[in-house]
Amino acid sequence: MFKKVIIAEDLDGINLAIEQTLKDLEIVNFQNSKYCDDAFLKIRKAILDNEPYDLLISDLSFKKDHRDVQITCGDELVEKVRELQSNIKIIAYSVEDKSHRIKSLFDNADIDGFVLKGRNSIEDLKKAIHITSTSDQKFISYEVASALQEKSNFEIDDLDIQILKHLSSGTSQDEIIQIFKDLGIKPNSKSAMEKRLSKLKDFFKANNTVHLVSIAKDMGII
Amino acid sequence: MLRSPFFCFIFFLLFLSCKETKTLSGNSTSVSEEGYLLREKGIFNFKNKNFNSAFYNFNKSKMAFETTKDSSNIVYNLIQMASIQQINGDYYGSKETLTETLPYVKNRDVYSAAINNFFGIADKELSLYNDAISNYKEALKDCKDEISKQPSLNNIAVVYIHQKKYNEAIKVLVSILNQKSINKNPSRKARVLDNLGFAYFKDGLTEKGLSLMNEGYQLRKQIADFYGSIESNLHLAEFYLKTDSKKSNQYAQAAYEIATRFNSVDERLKALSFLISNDSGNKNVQYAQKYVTINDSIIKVRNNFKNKFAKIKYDSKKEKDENQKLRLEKAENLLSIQEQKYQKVVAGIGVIFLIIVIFILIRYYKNRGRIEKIKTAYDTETRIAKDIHDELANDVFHAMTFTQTQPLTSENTKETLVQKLDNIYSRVRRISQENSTIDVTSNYAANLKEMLSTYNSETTNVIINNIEKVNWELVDNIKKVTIHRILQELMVNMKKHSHASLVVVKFESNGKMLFIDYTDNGKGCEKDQIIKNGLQNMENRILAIKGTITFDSEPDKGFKVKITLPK
Repeated sequence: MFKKVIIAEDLDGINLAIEQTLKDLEIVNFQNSKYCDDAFLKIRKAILDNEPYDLLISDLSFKKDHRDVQITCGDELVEKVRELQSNIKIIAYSVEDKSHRIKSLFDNADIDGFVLKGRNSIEDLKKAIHITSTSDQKFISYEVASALQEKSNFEIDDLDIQILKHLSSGTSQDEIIQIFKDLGIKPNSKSAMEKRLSKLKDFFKANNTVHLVSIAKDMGII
Repeated sequence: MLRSPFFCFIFFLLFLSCKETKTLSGNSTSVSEEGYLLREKGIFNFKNKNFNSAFYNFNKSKMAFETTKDSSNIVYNLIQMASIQQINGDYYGSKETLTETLPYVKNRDVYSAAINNFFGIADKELSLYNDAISNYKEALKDCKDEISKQPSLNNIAVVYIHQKKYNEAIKVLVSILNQKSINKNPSRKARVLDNLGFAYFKDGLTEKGLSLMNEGYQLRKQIADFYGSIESNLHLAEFYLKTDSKKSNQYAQAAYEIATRFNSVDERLKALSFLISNDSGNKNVQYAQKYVTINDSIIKVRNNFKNKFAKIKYDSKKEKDENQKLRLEKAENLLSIQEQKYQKVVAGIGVIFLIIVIFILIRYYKNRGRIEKIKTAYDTETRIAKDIHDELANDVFHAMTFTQTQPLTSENTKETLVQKLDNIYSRVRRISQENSTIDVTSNYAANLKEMLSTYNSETTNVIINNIEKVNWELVDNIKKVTIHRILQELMVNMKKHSHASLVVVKFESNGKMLFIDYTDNGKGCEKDQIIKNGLQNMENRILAIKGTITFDSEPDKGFKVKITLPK
């Protein structure tokens, strides 16, 4: 379990909740800062004192106030801390649910956990502390877990549209493959073609190829 | 060269008019001052018998006064010029000059008298005796008193003698002699006596004639009027021409000598002619030769003068014309300069006007832009307020009533309350997300894609096409934000109202334009309801970035939106 923890969070209420959680986990050596700059300085000082922190729990958004600050948001703080002290564990604790932002935290700052502030945040935070303290596994709240998975977007490209066009003009699957081969368009294998068709059917909620073409036409794609 | 009988009269006139003109013309502009100066110069040259210069000066002076329209000075100068011409035998020229005065002579005064007198002299010398007499008579009319009438009367008498109307001449001359005032002017009296004697002699009354001529001669000698005595000598020489050639010769000789002294050519010639006809000896040839020489030279000199006077007049006129031309050119130049000035002023005013118009237009458009911005901001505010009211206020109120009515000690109700609060929390987050800042950096496309994808659900598929193909780097930040917001609003509308199972958002772009097609297969709505459904805000946003947006929908036929905007 972590020995020394620092919390960067500007809201007292949430601070109290985190502190309570830490106490529940029998961690007593913790400090909190309401500004990113303060947190960063404390981490630096701890390193210089040879008593480095084991864990940083950081919010992402900090309210601007009268104080001029160098580090304005948690994203910057975690990145800088990661540069300063590579072995520190970092858990981001935020309402942020934009997957690309969450992803960039994992990619750029190599954070160890992301806990979404929400209904289950205290439970999630406990889980995250447990997991990160005992292993190098990453933790991410269930609600935003998709951020780290492959995209769930329904995206189609020009090739899909070409296939749909060929289908609408009565060209058979094999003939399309042949045409693509002639034009040097890749991929042009039978399996790739089937994969694409099933994807399109899935996207357009079509029961069969005819249905797919009819929907594509209705939707103005072809 | 001088014409004897009129000389005194001319000078008398000269001084008289000098005084008069000086008092007359008080307007002392620089031009009239120049005129006076030239006139004084002319008088000076005239006195010194520098006739050319005098004529030139008077002519110049005349032209100077012409510009100031000083008629009395113009007339004075012209009279002087005419007298110079007459002295030098240019009678035609003098008549011409005198004619020039006529437009300036308005009332009959000493000037008109002088002019008529000079006309008379010219006519007499040109042998136009009737004209001469009528002119002299005109002159007489302008003379108010006896004394001033005397010279004219004398002149008339001389003309009568020339016309051989001796009786009339005698009548006139006797009338002059009978005037008492004649005694005050002995030279004039001598002349009258001489002329009267000559007239009697010509009329046949030789004795009476001789005694009168001698009386005049003696009187002239007495007052040392040598110039006048030439005339007496000539008359006497003529008197003795047929009776006593010796005496005639004597008088002619005397006349010749005095005339030579006075450089009076005509008299010399006359004297010589008497000498020639009296003498038949060797001297005769000599006289004849002299006569011819003098005659030739005098003709030459007079022709010369005539030409010179004409030339001076012509040159001055030319000069004047040139001056006028120059003045005209100057005026034209001034006019063109003025025109340029006006053009400059007009151009300046035009430029200023243009600047003002541009300024006003800029302000107008800026204001309009600002007003649009304010309007959009206001619309957004009201939209958010409405969202909060619709989505939150109700739920919060429900939660409140729930806590008031249900016993919170029960684990079950506590769980329900937490559920409700969580629901409220997620909604708040959604509203915040919908209105939070938009990332316009390199993440824009990913961000937009994610925003669209959040509307994916078990019932709805949002299909995105070619979002990465647009070169978002080249699109203005403001436009990126607008696109994001509009698509977001479309998605929100879709979720709220359409119950669509499929949504396609297609992106396309060429060099200058960006096209976005939104299509769903939801309920759609009546065409005339489209604008009412809060889509006005979208339209305003698009118009603000100079794009166009068209909505197309029919009930149960889905909803289509085409957005076109410049990059």
